[in-house]
Amino acid sequence: MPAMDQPQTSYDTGIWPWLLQRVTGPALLIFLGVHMFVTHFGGFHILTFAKVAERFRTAPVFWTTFDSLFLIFVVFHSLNGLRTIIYDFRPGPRLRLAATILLWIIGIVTVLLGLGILIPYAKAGG
Amino acid sequence: MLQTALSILREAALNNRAGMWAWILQRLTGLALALYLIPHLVVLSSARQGAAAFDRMTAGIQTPIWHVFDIGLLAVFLIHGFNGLRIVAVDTGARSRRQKSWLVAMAVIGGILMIMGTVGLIRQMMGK
Repeated sequence: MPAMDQPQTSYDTGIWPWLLQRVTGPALLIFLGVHMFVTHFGGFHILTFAKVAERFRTAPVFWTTFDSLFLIFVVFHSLNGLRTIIYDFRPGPRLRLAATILLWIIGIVTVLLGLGILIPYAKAGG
Repeated sequence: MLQTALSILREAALNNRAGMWAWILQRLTGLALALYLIPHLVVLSSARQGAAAFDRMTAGIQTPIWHVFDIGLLAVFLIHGFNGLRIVAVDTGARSRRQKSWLVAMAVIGGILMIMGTVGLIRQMMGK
């Protein structure tokens, strides 16, 4: 009776999605901690374009890397989590494949649009 | 689909343990955070229309009413983040006797951060 031993709601989403969700999750806690401090607390409580541009001017490589990775991690973690929720509903193989492909497209488009937000700051920073 | 959702809830009710409710809570908070990401990126995208557009947009969401929303958002994030950390700890082999310690530790750290964040946001609401 194999099914009795495991929770009925678990569904195999694959070893890599499972592992990457557990790598990106704790990383996002660190990213978000820094993000909250530099953008919303720590004396920055009125967020303006100039303040963000100033941050990029002081350490352009660091903040471009930080924000790009943060964006990629958060989009991956969100959509991979959404995929897990979809799998909880036990879709058939074709629906699973369609959902995975659709989520990848949404993810790539979102990351590209998100990276585009950095362009005006890169221009302002020179 | 509704039937599957109902069967998941029935499973949770029959298997009434903290872990099962934490499992459902993790999905609900995750869904909320994923949805929040959409308006968040839309607001930030205003930077592409220039500094003035961005400043108008961010000024509009840094009002006391939105800070109340922020307190709720912080709570949802902390629940998801620290419950998630607990899941990672349990998955990577924390012994079952230690699972409860992890739960307590995460709840304490999350609770402290919630208090700190709420105090910070209330101060911002009062214009400090």
